Amino acid sequence: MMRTPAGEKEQSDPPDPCTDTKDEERSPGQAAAAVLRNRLSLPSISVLDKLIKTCPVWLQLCMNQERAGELLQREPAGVFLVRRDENLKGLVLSVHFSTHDEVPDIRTYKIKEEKSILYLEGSVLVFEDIFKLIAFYSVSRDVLPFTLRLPRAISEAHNYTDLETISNLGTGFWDSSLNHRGGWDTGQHAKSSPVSNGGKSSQLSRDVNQCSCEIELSVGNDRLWFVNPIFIEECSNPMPSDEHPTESCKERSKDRILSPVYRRPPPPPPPLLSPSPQGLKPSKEHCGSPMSVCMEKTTFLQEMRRAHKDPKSSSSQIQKDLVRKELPSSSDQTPKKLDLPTIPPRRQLSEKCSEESPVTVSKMEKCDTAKEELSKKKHHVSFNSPCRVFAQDATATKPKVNCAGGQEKAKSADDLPELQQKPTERLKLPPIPPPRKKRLSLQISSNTSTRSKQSTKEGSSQNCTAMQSPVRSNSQPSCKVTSSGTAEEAGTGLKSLGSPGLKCSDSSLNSSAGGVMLQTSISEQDSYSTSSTEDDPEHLTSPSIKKTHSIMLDRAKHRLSLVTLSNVFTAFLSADKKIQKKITELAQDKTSYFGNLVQDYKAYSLEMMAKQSSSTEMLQEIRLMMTQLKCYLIQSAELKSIMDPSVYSEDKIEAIVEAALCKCVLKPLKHAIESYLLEIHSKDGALRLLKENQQVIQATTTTDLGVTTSVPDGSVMEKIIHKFMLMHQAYSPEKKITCLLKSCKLIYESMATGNPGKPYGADDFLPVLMYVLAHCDLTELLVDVEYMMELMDPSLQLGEGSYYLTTTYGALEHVKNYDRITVTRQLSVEVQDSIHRWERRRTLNRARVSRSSVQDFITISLEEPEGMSRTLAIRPDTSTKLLCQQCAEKFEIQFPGNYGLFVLVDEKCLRLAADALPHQIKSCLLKSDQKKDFHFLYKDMNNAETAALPLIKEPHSL
Amino acid sequence: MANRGSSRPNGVGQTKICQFKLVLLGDMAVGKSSLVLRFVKGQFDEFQETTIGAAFLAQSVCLDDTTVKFEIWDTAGQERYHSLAPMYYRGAQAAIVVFDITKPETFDRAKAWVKELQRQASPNIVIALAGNKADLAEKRMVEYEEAQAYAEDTGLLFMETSAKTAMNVNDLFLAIAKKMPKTDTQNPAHAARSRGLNLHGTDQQPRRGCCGN
Repeated sequence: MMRTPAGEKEQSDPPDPCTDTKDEERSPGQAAAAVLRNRLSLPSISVLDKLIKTCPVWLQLCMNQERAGELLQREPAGVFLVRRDENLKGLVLSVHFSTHDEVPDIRTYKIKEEKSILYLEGSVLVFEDIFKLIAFYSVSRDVLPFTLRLPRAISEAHNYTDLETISNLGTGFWDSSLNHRGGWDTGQHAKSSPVSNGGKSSQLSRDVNQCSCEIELSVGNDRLWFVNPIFIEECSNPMPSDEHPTESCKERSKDRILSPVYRRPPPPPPPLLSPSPQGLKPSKEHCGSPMSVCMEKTTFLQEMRRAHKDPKSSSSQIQKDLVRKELPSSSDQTPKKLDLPTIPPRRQLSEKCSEESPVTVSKMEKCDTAKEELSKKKHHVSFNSPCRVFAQDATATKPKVNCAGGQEKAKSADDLPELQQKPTERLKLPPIPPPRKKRLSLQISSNTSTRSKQSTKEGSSQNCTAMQSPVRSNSQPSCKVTSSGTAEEAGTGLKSLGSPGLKCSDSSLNSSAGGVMLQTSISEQDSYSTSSTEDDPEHLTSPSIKKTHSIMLDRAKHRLSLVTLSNVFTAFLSADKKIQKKITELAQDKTSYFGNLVQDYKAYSLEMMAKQSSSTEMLQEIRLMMTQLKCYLIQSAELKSIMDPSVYSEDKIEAIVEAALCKCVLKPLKHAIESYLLEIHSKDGALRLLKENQQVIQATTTTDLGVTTSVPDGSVMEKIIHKFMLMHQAYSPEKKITCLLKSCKLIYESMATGNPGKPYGADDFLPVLMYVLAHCDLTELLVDVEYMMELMDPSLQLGEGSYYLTTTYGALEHVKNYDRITVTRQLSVEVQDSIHRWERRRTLNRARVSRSSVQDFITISLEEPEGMSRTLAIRPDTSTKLLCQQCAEKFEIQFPGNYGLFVLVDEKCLRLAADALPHQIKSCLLKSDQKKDFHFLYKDMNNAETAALPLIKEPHSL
Repeated sequence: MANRGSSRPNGVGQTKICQFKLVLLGDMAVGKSSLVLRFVKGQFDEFQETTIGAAFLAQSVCLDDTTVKFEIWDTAGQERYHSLAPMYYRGAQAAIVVFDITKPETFDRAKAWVKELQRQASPNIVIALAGNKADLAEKRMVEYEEAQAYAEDTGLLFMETSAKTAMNVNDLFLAIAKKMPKTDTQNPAHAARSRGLNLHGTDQQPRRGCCGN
């Protein structure tokens, strides 16, 4: 957003974009190559993961203040420790914030704990755990003077082994050789110039920018903003390495290489600004300075605000201004990005270290560049979740916008309402199948290739667009979004953010979203009108359309008024419930992969049920489907974006997911399930038998039933029947079982009447249960019992529930076969077996679920991504060969020998070697920060085209 | 993730938890429920799970490094409900067949149950024979030796018990616990999932960890 006036930029841009980076000692080409290698081949580890992995290093609960200060003052600014303060009796965050190299400034921030949330004193942002808190502050500053920074070794670690090595050192890390601050911060620390420290100054400058970028939410005392840094992280991380918010300076320098547009003449060193935005209001004249950027933004936003109030009248003026101001500055932004494509080998840590070295360029320049590029980064940070759809969103957005030209400002403003309504319209559309065909990458590549240097006119306005609706603009090639128009769009976007009715950024507009999921629109699409916490990242990030405090305050207030209620509401829900709700929302989001899966499964179930003649099989199909959905979700990135799996035990996660699935799968299907069950049982005569025998039993004396105790009287019977009614109404099997147990408890209580304290076993209980059942609606009961037995979470050991369920089932069967039993004294073998089979199913299912952590599903399409596809269960050690055999069976291939397994990644097709592990490759693709669109294909190899495809064995060669 | 464990509230530690389904069989009024209630409400109070009634009870016992949790399924002893029994003993890893030493017909019935179990239940089910009401020795109609010999012949655990005096009650369950295969069922991680449904809104999971005996 911080575009300088064009003229200045152009005249002062250094000829070589790379000279002002930190990698100066390398040739620019080398550095760029390294960057690219990094970017393209390394699935980087998220900040959160890094933090979790390395907490023995930075989480020093027993460390005292002196020691922390000692350690930190040797570290670069932003490096931090979390410890427990004896006096404050709580966690504190100690951060090294030097304003000048000579004066190490270790500041301590209290981390407040309230129930299950954590927050920094003075901030309204709350977090579920310390990891999330730190992760967030590594990305975004909030109340801190600048963002936290991980020690370089950690931020640069690219694999878990490195992290483990670091982690194993614990406190020792700080003094170890691994903790190399040299050549980067501490090395330069010694230098006297206050701005000599490139890393630090860039850090500082980033903060300067952030002062203007961050939303200041300190409105009132309510903690409204429940922040999940995963969003921010992911949003801020559209490109795996160069956008990584807490990536080291190194990473930033790469970024710089890739975006030479940010190079500008050396500005004066940025003063350390207080977080207060007041400090950020220099006069417009200082255009080249970092301040001016803020200022510009301020103005821009003020204008935006005006436009927001009165869009028609002021928009064109703003747009003109913006065009004037913003366009030129970014004109040289893209060319470098065109260099992206090379695929280099994995980059080694050592290699990177060697890249770090003394800076040859003017420090001021460096600092400025860093700042600019950081501001760029900030744009990404500010992206809404939809950007996660595609790493390249930002990139992808540009060309389209650009080709629309720069002159149709007013028009674009008119286009906006339409754009914004689209998502809402979509809500009414029937479920669409998972968008697997189109790949954004395709568009991107074509866009990229056609992109001209001239085309990059989108300045900060463009960034605003990206923030508001990256995918929208991307997916609406026809819309007349001009670079200036996007500014207007952003303005409207602000409005739309504030008004719940208008759904901005439905990333699903274009199927280019591919199989990659997005979270954003979930909350907008679901039936829950309350905005979920999922909105929070958006709230948090979208405002980072750099603006000044005052505006931010207005904005915040404006939006607070709209979101407060819901946010406050959600804040009071238990964390589990919140996650459950989010999963339910995700399931209803037809743009998410999971949402699609759920919809597909539901549709399939309805079809399947119509064909079934066995109630058990029918219900088992549904249960299997739920178990599969659960397995998928538990392992999916989609769940990880909703909750932090590290915080919950596996069992907890499973329980939460199960409950959510009941809601989003069983609830809508319940009615259909019941009708089909009734249909099946009226066909097989069970209902008739029950009815007939019920009358027989009602006429039987209690003694004949074996009752030796008192039986429930009228009022208790009413209560019991009411409980059974509640049981019938519940959709969750677990809830139903609770109702059943309550009924049984009532029976026990009535049995004890007149003989209190005497415990009754089965001898006494079963006859009374029979008596009770004879007075209930057995049809409903039969349906409910089956529903519970088969749809119950198999991983849940029912214990008592299982016992009473079995007993009720047995009692029902006893009723059903009452006449026959009196003759043969035996239940049919089938009935006797049914419970056994049920037990076995449960056991098998349980075993299956408990293995679910190592089992996965893989969807394989025949020949083409859009071809017939099958989802197969695979284990981590399933080889390609084995999977091919399964495929041959599933697809009924006559000559399996001719077929092979391929993976199509972003249009690139590779054949899996016979001993490659598909699961490994899939996981690698899924974990990749740069969301890749991939498909596994089972293809005929008997043609030249496929035969020539390269083989792949290890996932990293992707 | 590596630090996952640290954030878990689950303090199960290294104790292995094995959970077994134990079914109670025997004629009506031989004291099945009393026997189990004596066990459950006896000295292992801290391991007791609250249940809504005595037909289903749960109790854990500690054996060295293993906590053995029994889910005890009572069956109705009436002949007319005999047909439902298979639903209960199928899938059970242990069974206690109870008879009343003062009523020889209950011993015959017990033998029938043992036969049925050996024919129809899981092949490796651990069966214990309990001659209950041993406190009523003066009314004894089934000799200890007779039952003992039968148990040896059929490979059963056998003890004479008294739910009234608690004689041999815990020993019987401990003997069964020792005979159970400790390898299967659950690892501690999954044991945490064995939350029965509870009606009391409180965590009824038995506290785990070794009781020290």
